[in-house]
Amino acid sequence: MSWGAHQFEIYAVHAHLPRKMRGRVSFFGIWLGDFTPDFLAKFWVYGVTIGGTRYGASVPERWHRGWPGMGLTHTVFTGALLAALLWAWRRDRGLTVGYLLGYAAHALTDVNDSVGTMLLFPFSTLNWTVRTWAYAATVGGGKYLDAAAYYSSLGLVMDLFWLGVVLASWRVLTRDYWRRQVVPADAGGWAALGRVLPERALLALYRATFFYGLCRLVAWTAWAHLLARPVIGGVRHRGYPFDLSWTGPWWMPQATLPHVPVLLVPVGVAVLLAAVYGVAGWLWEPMGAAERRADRAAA
Amino acid sequence: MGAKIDSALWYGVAGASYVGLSVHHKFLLNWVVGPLWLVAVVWLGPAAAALVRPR
Repeated sequence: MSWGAHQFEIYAVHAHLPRKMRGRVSFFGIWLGDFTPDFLAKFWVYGVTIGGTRYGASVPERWHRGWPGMGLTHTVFTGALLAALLWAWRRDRGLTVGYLLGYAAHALTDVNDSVGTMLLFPFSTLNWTVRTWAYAATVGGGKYLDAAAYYSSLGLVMDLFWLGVVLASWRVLTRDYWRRQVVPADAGGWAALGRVLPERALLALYRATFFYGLCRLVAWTAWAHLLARPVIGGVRHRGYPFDLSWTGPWWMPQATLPHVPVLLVPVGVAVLLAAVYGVAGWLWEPMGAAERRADRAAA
Repeated sequence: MGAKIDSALWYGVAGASYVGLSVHHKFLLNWVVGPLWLVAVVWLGPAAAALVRPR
């Protein structure tokens, strides 16, 4: 799984929208789309322990990304289905397209761990993974071991990459961008929030997901490498060992599920990404016309 | 102090305090507390500082 990358990518998606969508795609939609897969699936991955008994998935990677399991939550198909339902409910193309783009970003980013996602679900239940780092959610290790493994592996590089993408587009975090590009697309939502919060707080709210991603990157990395004293292979270490090799870290078992050949994955991701943006662009104008018709009918 | 510097200062305070605390209390590292922490510090911090600042 990816950690801070999911927080950073929503700003990257918003900052790199096709020209005709700029200022019109809902940031809330991208945020909700990007967070939905883990909202739906992750609560049971680590599980909860009550009275000494753990309740949760017995095979976390199958529950999270596989079939049968909740792996369908990490697919472009489900993202498109939920986006269609959102459109039927709200008739809001900015929200719908934002939701689809955010959802797709999450599903495609997660091909990097050793489990990956079922990109062609429901046509195939094989996972697509490039195995960049080890999927590290385990029954015994919980969230802490998962974080330690991620921030000791190329997962850390992935977070830094997405952080770099956002910082390269730093204007996306400015007040001016928020006013001109973000607020107009969600005018009703920001206006409602503005009735109880001053602009200073609204802007902080907009930046809050980036802030959280950056802080969790720093905090988990600091904890894993400066504070933790893990015992690995019977040896106590001062911090979890870094391992930036492919599918690292070496000290973490590499969970996996049946998957397609790794070399197919970059092609599959590129094709799906192009398809998502292509369909969104193709439907943009007809959706706008339908939205205006719905608005006129409501008036 | 300029408004931008003042604002940057409060974002810095929010980040340093959140990372400093959460690295020892990892339950704070979640997507509810993190964003709320920022909003609370950036929004309420200046008002709280004004209350304790000598007049």
